[in-house]
Formats: sequence, structure tokens, C-alpha cells
Amino acid sequence: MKKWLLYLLIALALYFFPWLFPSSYYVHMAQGFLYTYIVVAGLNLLVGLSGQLSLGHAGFYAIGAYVTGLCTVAGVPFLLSLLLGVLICAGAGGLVAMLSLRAKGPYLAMVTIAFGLLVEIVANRWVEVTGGPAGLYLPEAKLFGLGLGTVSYYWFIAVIALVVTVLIDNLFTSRYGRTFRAMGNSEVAAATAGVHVRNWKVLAFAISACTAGLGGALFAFQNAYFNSDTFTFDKSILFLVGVIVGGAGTRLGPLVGTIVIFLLPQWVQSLYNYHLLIFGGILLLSLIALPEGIVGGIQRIFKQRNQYSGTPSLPAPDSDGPSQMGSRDGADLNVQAAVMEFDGFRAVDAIDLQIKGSEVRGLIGPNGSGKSTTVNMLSGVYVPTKGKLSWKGVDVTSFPPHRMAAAGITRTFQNLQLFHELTVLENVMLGFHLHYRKGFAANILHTPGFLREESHFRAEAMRLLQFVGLAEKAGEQAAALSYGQQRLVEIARALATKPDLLILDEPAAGASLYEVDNIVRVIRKVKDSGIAILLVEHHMEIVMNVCDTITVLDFGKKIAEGDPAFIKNHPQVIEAYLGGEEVTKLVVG
Amino acid sequence: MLQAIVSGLILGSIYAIIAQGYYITFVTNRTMNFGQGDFLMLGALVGLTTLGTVTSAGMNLFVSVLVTMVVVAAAMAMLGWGLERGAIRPLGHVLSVGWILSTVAVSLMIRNIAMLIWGRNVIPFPSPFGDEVYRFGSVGITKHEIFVAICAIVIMACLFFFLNRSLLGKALAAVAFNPDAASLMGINPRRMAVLAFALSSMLAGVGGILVGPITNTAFFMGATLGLKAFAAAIIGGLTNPLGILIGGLLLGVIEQVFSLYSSAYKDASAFLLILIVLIFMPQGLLGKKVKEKF
Amino acid sequence: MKKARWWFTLAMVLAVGAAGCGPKLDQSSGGQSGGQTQAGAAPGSQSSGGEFNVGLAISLSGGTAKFGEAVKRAAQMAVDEFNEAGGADGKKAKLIVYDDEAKPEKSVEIVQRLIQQDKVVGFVGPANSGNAKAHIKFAQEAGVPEIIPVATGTTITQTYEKEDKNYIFRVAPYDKGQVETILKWVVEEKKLTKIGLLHDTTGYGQGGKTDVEGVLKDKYNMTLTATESFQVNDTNMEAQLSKMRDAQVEVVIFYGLAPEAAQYLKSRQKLNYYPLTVASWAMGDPTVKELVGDLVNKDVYMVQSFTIDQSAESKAFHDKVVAKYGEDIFPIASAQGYDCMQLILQAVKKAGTDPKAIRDAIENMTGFTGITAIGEQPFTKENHEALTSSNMFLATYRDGVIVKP
Repeated sequence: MKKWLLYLLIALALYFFPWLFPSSYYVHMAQGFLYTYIVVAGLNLLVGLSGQLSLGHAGFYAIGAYVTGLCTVAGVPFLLSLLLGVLICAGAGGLVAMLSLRAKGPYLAMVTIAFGLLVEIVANRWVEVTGGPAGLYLPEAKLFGLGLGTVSYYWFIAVIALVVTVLIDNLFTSRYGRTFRAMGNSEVAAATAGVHVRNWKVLAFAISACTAGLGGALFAFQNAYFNSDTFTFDKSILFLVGVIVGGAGTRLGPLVGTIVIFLLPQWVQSLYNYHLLIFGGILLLSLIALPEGIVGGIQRIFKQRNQYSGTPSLPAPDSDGPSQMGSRDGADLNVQAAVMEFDGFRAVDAIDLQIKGSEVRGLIGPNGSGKSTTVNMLSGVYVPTKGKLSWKGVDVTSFPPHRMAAAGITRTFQNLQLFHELTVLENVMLGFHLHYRKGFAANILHTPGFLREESHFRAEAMRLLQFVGLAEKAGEQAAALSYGQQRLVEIARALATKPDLLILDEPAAGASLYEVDNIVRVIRKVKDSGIAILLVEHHMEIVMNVCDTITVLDFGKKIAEGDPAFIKNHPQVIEAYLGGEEVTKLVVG
Repeated sequence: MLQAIVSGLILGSIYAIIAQGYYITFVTNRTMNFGQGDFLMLGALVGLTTLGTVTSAGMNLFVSVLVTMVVVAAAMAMLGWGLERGAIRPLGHVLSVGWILSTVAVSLMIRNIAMLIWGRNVIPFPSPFGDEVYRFGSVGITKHEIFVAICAIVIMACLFFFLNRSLLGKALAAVAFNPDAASLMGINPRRMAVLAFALSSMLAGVGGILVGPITNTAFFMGATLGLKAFAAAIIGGLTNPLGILIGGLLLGVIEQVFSLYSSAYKDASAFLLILIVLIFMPQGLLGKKVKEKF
Repeated sequence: MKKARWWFTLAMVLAVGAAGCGPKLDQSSGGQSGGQTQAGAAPGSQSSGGEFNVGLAISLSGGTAKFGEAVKRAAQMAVDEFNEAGGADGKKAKLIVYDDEAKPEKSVEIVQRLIQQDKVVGFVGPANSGNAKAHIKFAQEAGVPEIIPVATGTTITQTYEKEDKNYIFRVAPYDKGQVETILKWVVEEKKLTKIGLLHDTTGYGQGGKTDVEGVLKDKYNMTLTATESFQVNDTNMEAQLSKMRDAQVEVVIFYGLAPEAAQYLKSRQKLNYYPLTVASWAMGDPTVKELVGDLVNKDVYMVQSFTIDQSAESKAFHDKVVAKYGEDIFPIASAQGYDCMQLILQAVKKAGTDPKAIRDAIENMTGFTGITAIGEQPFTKENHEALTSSNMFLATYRDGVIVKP
């Protein structure tokens, strides 16, 4: 409710602005501020949440402006043109995302730069259509036949800005925001929780392109004239500056960032000899002093990290986790002669492996014996070079991680892959990704159905945290937990996907003695609830105590398989472990 | 056509020199100077002033060119050092894109300062070797372009030797490969980062001296060249100096040849090339695929 | 859902408000009284009595910064001289300068700021035609006269010629006039038919292209043999030139700014191909000669409307600029900038500080002595171009000096 009161206050402030500052200059500036803010807010979703980068947003800005402008010139009503412009931008955003899917870091940056510059070049040279630098004159913006004057156009932009703010804010606090954030933190972990990373990246780009196009269209009609000189690379940089200086990934960041990129230049306008110096200086200082942006920095100072979910209520104490979560038909994994090669090096050499029902399988072997590679193959992170994986009778050999998760196989990670920007509870809630039913519209509008679903899964996640003994840590940042606790969170997150086979990759590594006990206790409880476990572990004590069967690897080959007592006395296993020191030295990685 | 290829190669070799600067800092600490273009501009302007001073002092042509190179290299190395200390290190790795903006911020300031010092005008940068044109059949090459070609070869050779053979170069490579292990071996990764930025800025500066007489020397000259060089680095693959050399030459030639067909969309050709390369080879032509471990 | 209804109601209220009694903007705008007592308004606005503001909105950074700088210096000189001579009825002028960074949207901002915040009685600017097109609407609507010192796009001053009062004036050789001068020489005097056009991709070159094609078609019923373009910062124009050679053009019309003109001349040398070249006035920018030296001497003609020694006034002005700033970075831009500001200040002397009266005074100005080839009565109601094709002529370089051929 407090939130809605705030929105109402903002709305009133926006509404009365023209009376408070009855100058067309101020109203014009307010228009500019608002549509710039819309672009920055959308870019913040992309950069701040999904962890991608765009140095080509001026391109979307231009597409929005031109499509909307040209449609209106062709006689299409203004609102419809606006809608068209925004939709085409979304398409363009999706396209750029598809083109840059495999490109990362600076390569991704270059794809977006190239896109932005291409749009700029086309806008400049395709004079017959865009008018190029000579520009495009537009008819007055009309709403239902009513012409929009300076003030009413300002109100129109204000309403749109407010709606965009509300929607983006809703997105931030819905599972969509959570998923974007998770993806930005760790793609692979998000994928093993069932997130189709590619689609989500495309979605993030499309939304962000949408808002950029909206901003561009609103800009175009501000003066009823615009030309291609506006859509430069500098503009893209400026938008990004707004996001970063304001505080990437924060909800208020875009507002503060827009103040910096839009109002600051106004204040130093008469210092025309030095304005780049001043702007650059302030930018540099703010980046050094507040690397997380102004809002991010302030939040840090006040230790009030954004909590994207309300305080969780504790579930009934008698709950005991995954066993209550629906029926399970047990694991049925069959690995046939799986081979994994890297540049000619065979990390895994023709391994056969069967896991059935609710057994606990140990997978051990000296360093470099191929355990991690096996885990990566089984969870879909790697696709085997040769051989076949079948799961419940289905060939899953080339399944990517999110399909493995959907099929019922998930994992934890040896080098922890928690979503460090999310709270513990949110980490676990993300695990339910595959089980959410409410779509984008419900999430962005915060419909009652969405709210019910959120609270349902929050309770479910709480139950899982209770199960692993971390209920009281639910509201903390995941990164703030100890090693052992983080491993438990990973287990809880993996359980949330409701797997039939849970792969635990060295769950006790780095944990304290007390925590190891706790982890073993959790593993036992998981086993009791009927979930099969593949346990990769160095602590022999745990392996021998917990596992029903143990498979031993050495140099990528299976050298023994059997119950703990059998393995303990297996000559080849002893040999492998005694020679372990040399093995470590011989095989790097 | 032949003329276009020759001119493209000359221009491309300059792109490649600047682009090596991106490579060195990227492999060392995963950052780059997005203001490389403005560093180049500063190199050109400082070089121009130095050259003027030195020649008017009556020094021999080759000596004065050499002195100019050394002065520019030293000045730019200092600036690179300052950049690393002032705009890269304080950001740490808190934010993956912070360094992009901090280097852009520095470049904006440099651009403004250069405008105040050297004015808003385009300044003539006469090549120390004159503008005489040699003709080989239908192809004309200026003396300066020959100088650029020779310099490019020498600089590339020195760079490859430095990176692959010298102790310092190996230390740089070690940091690039594994900073933790390198620091255990007594190599200071921070010092190497400073070295990388100094080297990178030196390359930009020298590139500026070479490109000055070819393009127009002014405070706003950097942005386009910096972007083109970045494109060259990306096309070739940021992690491979040989790839970058190829990327630079390729970009230069394609631009020139393409403008034979459509001069209006010449710039578009470069960026289309990038998109196509990156769609099929997301690590560039010769870039190394980074395999993540889980 | 309740919230949604809430929002709907609110939206309705807003909409009704918007349709009904909207706020009145700029009620106190206008020059003569200091009406609005905005605390933060620029110092020296009208209310202080002894001063009035004149504006300059031009690019001081970006590719056209040099034009802006030259105009700024000249305008400042005009204002200083005006104040030293006692101003108008004791009122002194204050020059407010903003940089439009060669960006249209920026230009709109600063023009609005000049008009609404600084309450200028008139202003000078800009250098880029695109910027002019973006912002003239605001000058016209607010009724504040604008005189353009550099931007040459043909249509700018015609935009409001049908209106009762057109507030946009220009003291610069507009493109169509230049093109007519060029083509008259090329087609009528030299009788050449194979014409090639080489233009830049900025608004300047593309505007020139439109005019060249238009005049060729309308006046001579001809078309261009070859059209090539280049980008600012291009390092050579070999490809474009060799295509001109392949097309066997007899004359190349060059429409671009000085740095690129220099590149063009260098590429001519490199290809050993020296087509007859006629260029717009930018070829006369002293930078071209500085950049390429003797290469300007070979078959290069350009439109000029000003040479430093065309009159005693212009010579004296040039010397004054050099004395004050050490150099005259762009003589023609300085001269035009000076005349623009002079026109406004003279009009203030005649008509006071009401922008609308100033506009009328500029339009009806007589007995004006300018630095450029501007006439004694520069404007009429129909013509807001101070320099027409009758003031323009073709010049060429001889031994590095611009002369009439």
C-alpha cells in the first residue's frame, strides 16, 4: 500500500509540474527527462538485472523514433504507430540477442556497437525514407483526434513514464526479475535450475529494446521534427552511463542516473569550454567513489540491501521437505559407453553407469579421474563426444541443462554457483522455475493469481530451507553465508526443481566439521524421501557411510563398482589412491 | 582495385597497431581502454608538437622522428600508467562494465583538454618524409605510407618478440594465464597491469604519429579510429595478437574495396563484417575459446 | 483490481484536467519587461534595467566547432563594441553563449533556454542545418528573431515565409544560391555536361546534393553522371575518385568541409588524376591550404561571397580580429557572425528591446554597412537571405591566394 501511495504522490507531482514551472523550457526539459528515464530504466533491466551489455541502445531509440514517425506520416494514428514502433523494437532487440547469443563480454559489446552504428548509418544514408540529416517532419501527436500541445504531450509522456515505472518495478519484484538476476549471476546454475537461458536473454533484450524504442518515439514527437544526427554512439554510451552511475540493478538507479546524464549537462551548459571535462570528471569520480552507482553505494552505506521479497513467514515446523512434494517415479539413468574428449584428450573414456530407483551412488576417484566431467555430462553442461545417455527410456544425450532439469536431473556445483545477488530464499525460489505457471502478463501486472503463486512458492521454499536447516537465514544475501551453508542452499535450490536424480558435486568441500555432519544428515533425509543421489566426494568417510553403491574412476575409466565394503578392499582402487600423488602431478586440470 | 588494396593494407596496419593495445590489456586483466582513440589523438598532437620543436631545433630528419617517437611513447606510457592507477584499479572488479565507462570518462577529459590546448581547428600534420608519391604501375604510394608500412612491420616484430621471448613479456603472459599462480612465482600482477596499460597507450600514441599525416589531426579525430581498431581486435580475436593483425588488415582492405562499390555504405561494410564474423565465430577469427569449468 | 480502478479514476481526472483548464505557459515571455521574477534566472536579465541579453547558440564542440568558435569571437567583439559605444539608450548588451554540441536535440534545449530563461531579445546560430531545422520552430513561436551565421541549408529561412512574420534570417551563402552559382559557371560558361558530385554524408553534403540535383533538373534538365559520397574522418577518397575517372566526368562538384576537402585534394595527387573541381564555400576555408599547401592551386574553384580585402571594412575587421585573438581562424565565418550580431544590435538601437519590434527592425533595416557582401538593405519581407547568388562569385586559388579568376 505504501508503494501505491508513493506512486500517487509522484503522479500528482508530475501532474502539477506545469503549474509550478510555467515555462515551456521547463516543460520541455521535463519531457526530455522523462523519455530519457524510460530508456535508462529499460537498459537497467538488461545491464543491471540480466548482466548483459548494450552499447547500441541508440539503435533501438532510432528504430522506435523512425517506425513511429514514418507510420504517423503515412497516416496511421499516433497511438497505433507508437505501439508498432515499440513492437518492432522488441523484434529488433530479440534479433540482436539472437545474433549475439554466443558472443560474450567484449564480443557482445561489439555486436551491440555494430548494431547501433549500422542503424545510425542506415538512418543517415537512406535519405529517401528517413530523411537522413535533413530530417523528418512529423504531424502533431494526436490522441483520439485531440492534438497534444506542449503541456498535454508532457502529461502523456508522464503517464507512460509512470506506467513503465510501475511495470518495471513489478518485473523487478516478480520471478522474472529474479530469473534475470539469477541468469546474470550464474548462467550455468540458472540453466540447471531449468531456466532456458537463451530465451531469457532474448526476452531481456526485447524488453529493454521496447523501452528504448518507446523513449525514441516519444522523443521524435517532442519537436515534431528529428534527424539522424541524434542517434550516435555517444548517445548509447550516455544511456549506459545513466544506468551505471545511478546504480545498475537498483530500482531507483535509473532515476538518479537520468538526473546525472540529463540535468547535470544543463547546469554546466554555459561552461561550454569545459563541459566534457566536467562531465568526464564527475563520471570518473562517481565510478571510483561509488563503483556500484549512486543508489547502489547509498544502499551499501545504509546496509539496506534491496529485499525483493517480503519477510518470509515460517511454515509449520512438522514439514519435512521434498517427500511432500508430489509423487516420484524414481530414477532410471542408463549411461552407455560415454566418451568426452577435449582437443584430443579423453577426460572420460567409455563409461557405463546405471542409476535406478532411489539409490545413493558414490562416484569417487583421484584428482583428474574424470568425475567432474562425468557430472557435467550427466547434467547436460557438456554433450558427450560419443556414447549414449538415456533417462527413463528417453535419449537425453544431447539435452542442454535446462532440459535435463525438466526431465528430472539436477545438480549442485563443486565451485559454488549461488546467485550471489539474491537472498537465500530467492535462490531456493528460483529452483521452482519449472513449476511456475503464471506468465509474463501476470508477473508484470502483479495480478492476484501471481501474488498467490508467489506466496505459495515462498512457503515451499521456506519449507525446503527448514529442511536443510537454514530457515533463519532466509532473508540474507546468499554470498554472506559460510561455505557449508552455501552448499546447503545449493542442495535446497536443486531440490526445488523436484528432481528424481540429484547430483551432488563435492557437497562437503570447504565445509567445517559441524557443517559436514549437517550435510550428511541432509543427504540421508533426501535419500529417505525417495530421490536418487549421485554423490561425488573426497571425504571417504561420507561416501562409505552414505552410499549404497560406489563407482570408481581412474584416468577417465571405470575401474570398479560395488558396495562400500567391496570397494574398500578392491586392489585397483587402493592402487589408484596410493598412486594418487603422482596422478595429481601428471594430469593437470 | 589494386590501389584500394594497397591503401587498405596501410590503413589496416595502423588499425592493427592500435588494436594490439586492446589485446595486451585484455589478456592481462580483462579490461581495455575504450578511450584508445583519444589516446591516439593525444599521441598525434603531442607528436606533432614535438616534431615541430625538434625539427626547428635543426636536428636531422631520422633523429628527430626517432626523438618524437620516444617522447610520445614516454608521455603515453605515463598516461597509461595514470589511467590504470586512476581509472581501472580503483574500480576493482566490482562491476563488470565500470571500466568501460571510467576509460570513456578519461577519454572525454582528454578530448576536452586537447581542444583547449590545440584548439578546435584541424591541424596540418606534414609527414616528416614529405608527400611525394611513388608510382608502381597504376598504384600510387606516398613516402609516408611506405614509412607507415615499415614502422608497422618493425612494431609488430618488436611486439611479438617482446610478448613471446622477453622475460617481461613472459611474465605478462603468466599473469594473463593465471594471476594467482603468477603472483606466487613472484610476479606482481598489479605491476603487470600497469605495464600492460603503459604498453597499450604507447601503441596508441605511436599509431597516432603514423596516422596523423594520413588522416586529419584534430581533437575529435580519435573516436572513429578507436572504434575501428576495436572492431579489428574483435574480428581477429582479442586473445590472439596474430588474429588482431589479420583482423586489422582485413578491415582496412574491406573498407577500401567496398567503397569501390558503394562509397555511401562503406562504414556499414565494416560493421556488417563484424556481425557476420561474430555470428559464426563468437571468439573472432583466431580467438581462443574459453572453456569454463564447473 | 481495486487499485486498477483507482488508477483509472486518476487517469480520468488527469485527462479531464488536461482537456479543460491547462496551465498557461510563458505568460510573461517577451523582452521588454522583466516580468517573471525567477530567482535563478540568468543574472542581468531584463529586470536589472541596464542590460538586455542577446544569445548565441552554436556548436563549440563536435565537428563544426571551428565555425562556432569563429562566430563566437566575432559576436563577442560586436557586443563589446556596442557596449563601448554606449549601448542603446544606455542599455548594455550581454552575450549568452551555449554549445549545441552539433546535436539537434541539444540545440532545441539551448534555444528554449535562451528564449525562456535568459529572455534574449534575439539570437545568432547555429552552424548545422539540421540543428536549425530542429529549433527554428521555437524561435518562430516565441517570436524571437534568429539570424543564422553559418548553416546553409536552403529551406531553413523559407519554413515560415508564408507566416505573417518570419522570424528566421540568414547571413550566409545558402546552398541553393551556391549551387546556382556553381552550375551557372559549369553549364552555361564552360558548357560541361558530364558532372560528378562528391559530397559528405552529413546534413551539409546531403543538403548540397539535393540542391545540385534539383537545380540541374529544374533549370537545365540534366542529371549527374556520377554521385559519390564520403564520411567525415575518411582518410582518403581514392575509391570515389577512381570511380569518377571511370565515369569520365569533366567536372567534380565537391560538397564537404575543409578537412575532407584536403583529403580530396591529397587523393587527387595520389591517383595522379586532377579533374576540374568546383566546390562550395568551405573549400575557401584557410585550413584547406594549411593542410595541403600547393595542391590547392590546380584547377580548384569555389563559391565565395567574401574575401578579406573586398572592402576597407572587411580588411579593418580582419585586422581587429587578428589583433584581439592572435588569428582569424575562419575569416568568412567571423565576418558573417559579426554581421549577424550587428544586425540584432542595430535593430535594438532602433526599436528597443522588444523581440517582435526587433524583428521588424531587422526586416526593414536600411543603411546597414556590413563586413560581408551584405547589402545596405539586407532583407525584405519576402527575402530573408542577406547573401543571395548575386553576392556570390566563383573564386580560385592562384599561388595559394583566393582570387577572382
